[in-house]
Amino acid sequence: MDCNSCDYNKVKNKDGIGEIKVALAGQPNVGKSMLINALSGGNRVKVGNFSGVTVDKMEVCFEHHCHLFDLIDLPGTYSIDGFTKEEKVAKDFLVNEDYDVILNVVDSTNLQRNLLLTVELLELNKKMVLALNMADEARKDGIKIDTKQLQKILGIPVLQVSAKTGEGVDELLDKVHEVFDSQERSHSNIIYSDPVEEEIIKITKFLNERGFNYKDWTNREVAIALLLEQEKVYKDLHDNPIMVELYPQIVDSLEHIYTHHETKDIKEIKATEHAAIARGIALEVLNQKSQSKSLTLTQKIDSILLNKYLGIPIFLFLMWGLFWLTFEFGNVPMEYINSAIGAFGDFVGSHIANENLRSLIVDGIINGVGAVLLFLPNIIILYIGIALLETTGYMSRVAFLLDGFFHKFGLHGKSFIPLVTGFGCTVPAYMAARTLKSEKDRLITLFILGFMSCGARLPIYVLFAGAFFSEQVAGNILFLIYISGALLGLVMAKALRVFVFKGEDEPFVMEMPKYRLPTLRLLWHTVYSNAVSYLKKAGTFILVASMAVWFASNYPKNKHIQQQYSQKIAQVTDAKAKIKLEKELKAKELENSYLGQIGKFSEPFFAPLGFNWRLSVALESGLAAKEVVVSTLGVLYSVGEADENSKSLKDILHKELNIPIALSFIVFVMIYLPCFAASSVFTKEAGGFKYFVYLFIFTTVTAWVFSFAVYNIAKVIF
Amino acid sequence: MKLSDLSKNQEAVVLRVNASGELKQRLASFGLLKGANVKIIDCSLGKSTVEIMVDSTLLALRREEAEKIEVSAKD
Repeated sequence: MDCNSCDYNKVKNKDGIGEIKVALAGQPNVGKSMLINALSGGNRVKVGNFSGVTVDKMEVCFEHHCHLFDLIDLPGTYSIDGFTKEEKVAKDFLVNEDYDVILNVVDSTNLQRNLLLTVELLELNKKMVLALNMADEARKDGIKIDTKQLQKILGIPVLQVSAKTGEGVDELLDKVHEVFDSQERSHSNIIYSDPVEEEIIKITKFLNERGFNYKDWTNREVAIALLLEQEKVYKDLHDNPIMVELYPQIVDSLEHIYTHHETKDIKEIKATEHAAIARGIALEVLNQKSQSKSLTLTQKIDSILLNKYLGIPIFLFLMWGLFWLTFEFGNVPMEYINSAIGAFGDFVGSHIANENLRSLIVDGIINGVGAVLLFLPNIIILYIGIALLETTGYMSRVAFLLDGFFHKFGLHGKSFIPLVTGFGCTVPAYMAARTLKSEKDRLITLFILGFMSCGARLPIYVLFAGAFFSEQVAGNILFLIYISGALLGLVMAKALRVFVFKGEDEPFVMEMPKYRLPTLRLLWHTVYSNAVSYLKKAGTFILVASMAVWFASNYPKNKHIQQQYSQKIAQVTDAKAKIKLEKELKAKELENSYLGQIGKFSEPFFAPLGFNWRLSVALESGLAAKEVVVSTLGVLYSVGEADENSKSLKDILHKELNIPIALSFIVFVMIYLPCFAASSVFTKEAGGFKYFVYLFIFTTVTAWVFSFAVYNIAKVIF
Repeated sequence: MKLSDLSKNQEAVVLRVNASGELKQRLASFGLLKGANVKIIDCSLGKSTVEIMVDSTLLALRREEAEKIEVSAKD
């Protein structure tokens, strides 16, 4: 059909005319995302979450031959019968949601294992099409698949496609369309083991005799579902009188099956049956002379990358390269962005007459959101790196190499990457934790990420270490700060595992996918969608947060103080004295602002740690961004524009405070809540506001306890 | 013997998987159950993790998990 000949308005009509809803299912590493790209021709992808859970849901709508395709990408799972969040989401969708066709994508080079999922899907008795992806790679590997025979056994259309070369992609859409249009669903010719078949035949016969009907299912399909205990079917048939007679027969049949399989675990029986079916089908349709070339190549690469002695050094070198690129290379555009934001702020500021409005827009919004935009280059580079690690298959090797060490602390081998990223910036680190598939591992990693001191905290450490220690010692102190933060993180991870995320460890059973070169398109897609989601956050949540922080540090305005100082300033003629008075005014204003009031109010809380109200306010302003701590101290101690090298602030701190207070302050900064941007990303990644509350309590209590201990111990020593 | 006792490149057939619930299901979803062909490919420093081949799939397991799988070595 030619698209120009059809009525476009009709196609675009959303009330169902010609819309085909396709559920895309497949195991991980079968090239599903690449196939979506190829099918949709790079159309807009909607990324969201499956309702109620933090599992990414990808949906693409596009038009093909006058039909609207609505493709829903289910999470990649090895099975839909399992315990993981992804498996539950996929199963829930496939069993309960409304869709037209299942499109099952499999890796042609690993047919047998992929068929395990295919057989599970067939038992759902829905319209289905099977796409044998990576057909080009299979041919190169000398793998021949008899698609006609496979089609006959499975009873569904089977097509060889390649998302990479575009082979068969059009035909695949046509086929899905055809299956959608067909009146009847075809039925599979899969045969179970003899003992199970015997019982299937018995129950089918009974159902036939009673003239039983369920949906568009054959009675054989109903019998299989009943014997393999498909909950949905039991639920649907619950009130049907036929069940009264069926129950004893099913119990009897199951008893036979149990005896034969030597277990009463129906899930195990199912798995064994499916494995036998998959093996049988593979034997019949697969023609492969020797082990595939790509698998042999993978083993060769593994013998180097997983080498007992070379493996870890190679990995560390790659990591070092990635972080060097992220933070050195990323700093170049960072400077440009910074000056562009500054210039933009000045430009906007010069066009706003109202002083308050100008302050809100320039100091509050542009600076606040700008601080987040600043990290965009780092995040993009880091994401290219992580996407490369993931798509080439190296990430699983990393987990393999490091799991031994990390598992001792209750973490997963893959935790390493977010943890190291955390030393740069906590925001991308939280996002990097997505590579952890197990919920517990991911949450523990998220909770301890803040202990890896991010780059923005460095100025605070430099300032305090410089104020109280000689230059040589200060360097060691810095190193000590970073190391003890990391160690504390590991110890806390263990504590969380033992006390909070109790229960058995998630099993570490992970596929080591074959090494593959990613396509540029796929890389671009991953990086682009991550960058967009990061920017969206900057535009919404962080925008509001920056306004709130700006408000708290500028209001309420105290007219009395303002008048007093403007009079004084008007009286003095000396420029230096004028600047000094202006600084004093700034400090006074901050002291009386809501932020200052909170600082004073919370002083008793911080007093046991040795902090005065100025330090308290600085810590609280650091919740907006850690960079702000130093500048706030500068304002509060009236030294004007402060940075970590400003001599006068160092001197003042040295005079006003002492070593125990400084150490206690450093420890608090090291442990307490990450900045607003990071906290909001944390909340999103962890999956809800309650986790933010937990994080707040967890970090605050830990920070307080450790600071208190350090303060009191240091008081004795120094 | 246990899967963890196999030496590198030695081939074996799975006799029993002494696990239950989640672990058993997870192993089964990779085809690692009675009758599967397995082979040790590599192990990490200190043998804390092992890489095995199940039919034509490469899998990584922790040592504790490999200990739960009973195999019979092919000669």
